[in-house]
Amino acid sequence: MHLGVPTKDNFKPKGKSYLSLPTKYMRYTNKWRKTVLSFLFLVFIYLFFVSPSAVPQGKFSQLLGKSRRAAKYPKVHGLHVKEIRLKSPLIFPPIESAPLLKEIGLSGLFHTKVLHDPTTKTDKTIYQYFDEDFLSDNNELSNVNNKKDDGALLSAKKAFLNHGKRVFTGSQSPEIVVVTAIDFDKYELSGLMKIVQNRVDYAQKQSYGVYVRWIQEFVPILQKHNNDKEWTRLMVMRAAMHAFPNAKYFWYLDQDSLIMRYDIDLYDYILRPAALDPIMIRDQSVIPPGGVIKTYSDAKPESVRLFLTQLDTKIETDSFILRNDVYGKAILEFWMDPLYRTYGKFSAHQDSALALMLQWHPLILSKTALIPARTISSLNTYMELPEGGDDVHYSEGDLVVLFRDCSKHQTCQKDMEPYWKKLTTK
Amino acid sequence: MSAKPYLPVSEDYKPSRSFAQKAKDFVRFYRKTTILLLSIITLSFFTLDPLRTLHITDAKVVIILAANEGGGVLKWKGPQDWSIERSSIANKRDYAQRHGYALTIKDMTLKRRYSHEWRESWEKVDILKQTMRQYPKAEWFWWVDLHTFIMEPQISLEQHIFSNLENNTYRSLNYFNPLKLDVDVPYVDYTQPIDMLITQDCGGFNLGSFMMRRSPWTELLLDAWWDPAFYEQKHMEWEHKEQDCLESLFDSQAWIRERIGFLPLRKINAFPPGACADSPSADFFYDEKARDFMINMAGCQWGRDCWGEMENYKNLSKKLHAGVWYKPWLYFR
Repeated sequence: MHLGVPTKDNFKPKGKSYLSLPTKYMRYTNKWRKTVLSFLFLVFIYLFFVSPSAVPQGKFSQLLGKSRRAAKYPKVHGLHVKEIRLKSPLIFPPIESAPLLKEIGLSGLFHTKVLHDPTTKTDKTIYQYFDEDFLSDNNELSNVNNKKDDGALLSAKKAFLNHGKRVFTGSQSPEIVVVTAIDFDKYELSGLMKIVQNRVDYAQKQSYGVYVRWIQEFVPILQKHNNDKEWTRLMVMRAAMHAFPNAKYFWYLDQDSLIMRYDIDLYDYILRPAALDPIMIRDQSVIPPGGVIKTYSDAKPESVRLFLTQLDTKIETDSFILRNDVYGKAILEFWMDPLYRTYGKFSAHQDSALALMLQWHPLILSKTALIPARTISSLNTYMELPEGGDDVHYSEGDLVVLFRDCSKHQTCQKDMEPYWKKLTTK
Repeated sequence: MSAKPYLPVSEDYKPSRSFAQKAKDFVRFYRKTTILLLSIITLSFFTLDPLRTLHITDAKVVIILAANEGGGVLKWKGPQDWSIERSSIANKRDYAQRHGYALTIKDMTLKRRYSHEWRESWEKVDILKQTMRQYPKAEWFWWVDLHTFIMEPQISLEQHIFSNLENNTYRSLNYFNPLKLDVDVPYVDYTQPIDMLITQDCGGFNLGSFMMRRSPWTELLLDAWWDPAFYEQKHMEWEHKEQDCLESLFDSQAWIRERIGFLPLRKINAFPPGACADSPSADFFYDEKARDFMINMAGCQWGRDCWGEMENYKNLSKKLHAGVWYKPWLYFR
């Protein structure tokens, strides 16, 4: 009997074993409970992995982090892989080097190769871009073996080769960018100065961006399919969209033109839907007069991505505006597809391509608006105009004056003079 | 004798009429409505097509099955062709039902408006546009050719592809480039979402099984796919029509390239040994052990036995999914 004070007997093992509890202790717990539990566990495993409602394998391996990591793809880049980042939204080449570039010539500006064509017995010079590494990191020309390259020429060449790499990376992107392609073979230095100065003055006043490229920079691409220089405008536009990825609108304005009103904001003037709605020309033949395909009569100003003007017989592209989004990029890249550039029946180059594109692709046509010519492409004329002007020619107060046929008569530089005087004496 | 008590009846009492009488009155007063209802009911014995065209469905995925290719014009359609068509359609229908997708079977009969050599490639594009209009709520559209068989129908497309799109695809051609196209071209931005999924076989792009997502990009591509200037220059070279045209567009236009993702061929388009026969790579061919998702008997109509191949893979699928004791539901399928 136990009376509170343990005696020696209390510690003695009872039963056969010297241990106080039998080793098979579990035997005394509920045998059934164990069986039921393990059965339930098996059912759970079965339901979880085998049954039709089981966790799918893909999900499971995702949870375990076993899935392959997404591949790394190259970053978006322009024609050149390397880029020069600029804080200023005014991107234009050093114009003063135009005479030097002319002196160097295409054969000095590009890597050249002469191919002999045995059938016609003529030599053809092929221009190619230098390797990306041709300019070393501190922008020194490596392997210069041309002794003619003295200091000034060398720096002009360097600037020419590097100009295409410039992209805008400032904190505040301009909404609208004015794009122009200039040709140092066509204009004298003074003319080029006026053209670029005009764009820059306008852009500064309206806080837009400016993107100016030499037409000659695109010679290797044009040469591939024997394209006319006119196609360059599309390439420059695409480069501009890359250089200003966050800008909303791009206005291509040909070099044969001047902006005459620095006080007009393009957005308020035509781009904003409320302003565009009344001036969109609806139900108008793409190829006038009497073309079968017409612009949509129910076109909405909000959906417009491409703003064009039409002069007498065709849509002109000396001055057009494109919006920067998936539609804008698609329209532009489709427009300059190599198969369009090799097509023999396009007599007016990119203008013919545009007309065909608009007539055969209803979606692209629905994103296009024709606007009155005098909004962004009034033509210069020597004629006396009636009071208030006509539909296409420049009158006092218009935004732009275009010298459309000046290259035919070689009067571009001369035509510009009176207008430039008007601008500077204001 | 007790007389029955007299029960007065009010003047406006009307005896209750039987159902038959009421029906008779209905027919008498609403004669035109009755005729219309009767004709609809009679018609519905024969076809439910008028109702089906309404397509009241919330399916997010639509499977487009191109059936009846050639429509028995170039070749007499024999019993084997009918059998192939039946098996293929039943296979896709089961799959669509199981996962709540919509299935639409599109007739690829030679149509007169596509017969001019210039317009050949429009049919696929037209069908895609039309289907996108038909199913305004659907997001993904999966085009499959007739000579295909889904071998693992228990796997949903979400689980197989869509839930992990970036990892299941490769977008840069440096992984596999049978056409030797330029790999690094300007202006391609791979941060854009994927809107089209295609595969490449030994000869280049393969449009036997591909997917498109509804988006502005897709609309643009469907609009741009056929162009008279492209086709006039290339129609002699482009043997595979829209497939070659897509290769060309992919090669030259960055906006198209940046939203196309490539799936490994075996993911949705595995080949039997007969297709791409000269290729030593195992990456193209259906592997029973790996349980590849779908087989495409591509090109079986050119000198191979379509019916034989179809039956073979149909039976193989049956065998692979035969019931076992721990998967008893398979017995009841």
